[in-house]
Amino acid sequence: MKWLEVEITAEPEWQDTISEIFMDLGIQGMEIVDPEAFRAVLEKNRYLDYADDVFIDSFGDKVVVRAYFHADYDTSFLERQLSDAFDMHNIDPNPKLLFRVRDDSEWKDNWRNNYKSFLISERVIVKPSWEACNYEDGRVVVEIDPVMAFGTGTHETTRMCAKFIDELIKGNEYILDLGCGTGILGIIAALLGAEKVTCVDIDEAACFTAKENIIKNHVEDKISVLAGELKDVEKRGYDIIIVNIITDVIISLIPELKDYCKPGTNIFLSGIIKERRQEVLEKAALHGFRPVQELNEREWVAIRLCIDS
Amino acid sequence: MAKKVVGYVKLQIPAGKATPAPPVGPALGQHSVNIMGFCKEFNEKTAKDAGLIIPVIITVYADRSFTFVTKTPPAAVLIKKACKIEKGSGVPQRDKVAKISKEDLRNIAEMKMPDLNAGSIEVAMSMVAGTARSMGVVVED
Repeated sequence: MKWLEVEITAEPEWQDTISEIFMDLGIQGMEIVDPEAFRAVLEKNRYLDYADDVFIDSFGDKVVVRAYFHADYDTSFLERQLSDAFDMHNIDPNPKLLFRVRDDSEWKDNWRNNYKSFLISERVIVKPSWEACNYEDGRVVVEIDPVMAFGTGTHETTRMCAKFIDELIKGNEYILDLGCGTGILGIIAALLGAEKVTCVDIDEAACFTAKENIIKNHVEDKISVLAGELKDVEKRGYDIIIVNIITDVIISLIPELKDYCKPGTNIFLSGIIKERRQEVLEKAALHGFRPVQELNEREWVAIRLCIDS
Repeated sequence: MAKKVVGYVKLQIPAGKATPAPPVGPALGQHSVNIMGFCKEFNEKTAKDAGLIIPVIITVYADRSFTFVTKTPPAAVLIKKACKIEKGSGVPQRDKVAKISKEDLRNIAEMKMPDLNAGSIEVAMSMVAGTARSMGVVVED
């Protein structure tokens, strides 16, 4: 199906007026590129999210509003209607107008095309639900769809944790997964033979998605999901603690981890950017943890710690 | 988990009625996001606001997962709803299309407070009053 895309570029203060103009033409939905709002969201989530400067700069300083009409809409008539509306509202300087014909085949299946099954670690394959499963050789298959939470396994930080889990799980372990996202790491641990997994995330949407994925992978008897923080978790000695979050949060959690350790506990820290590796190691040493293994992928480091007895 | 942002998308769409058609489809599809997944979640969260146009900001991460936050409807949409009018005035200085009471103005300002850069309800009310005037809606004393 084809659509006529109308794009208006203007100074930011005219955003509401332009959306009003479209609504007056009977358009209910539109896309707005709003640099100010994006910067505000990034600032608000600065402890959870980060972005490349190139990406942030790409917002520019103008507002862009896109609306869609039937492909057979008369373009020159629409152009007249819009410029009359600009004049009436005294929009100055005059916004830039761009018309394009779009076909929904351009976007419909993009996300599926980009998400295919893959080997996340030696023994584990991650696959989307729409792909048929015909893997031989006794590998474990985890089914995860990228929906509302972080952690499809394609990111380096998740992949390195999966490698740690794959190497260390022998069976019957108790696991704590902090910042579980989709639950992917806990599910891998359970499928590889862990006895019990506690998945924790402060994001309720993530917990909801994790629960769905846990059921999809038939491991609900092994995994419990808790919406909250580390302090909400029952204190007991875990065999493995996974902390796949970001450096600032990891550093703030290190002092508290001791209460969840026993002799021989392995802690996986991931989501650490290379430049901050030393900071994490120093904090860990200060609280009696010793690094025993490190993995590197692109700008990321994952560290395995053991507790000094 | 470290979350790298690769895309922000702001949409203004009817509450509870998101579909994979434009503008949702092309806006999210360009970032390879699961379009149906978004629609399902958005509709569930906004069903209670049916009839209103709601701005939503979607954050897309490097692994194509996403989260979103909904904002309060634009002041103009709330004013039109309060005044029961379809559209604002084309020539707001000359043609007045409706009147809005102080009470409605306050209700709208209270609703918009979280998204307005206003220190007090009075400041928020004067911002909403400004929008009303620019639409040809008279603010009653």
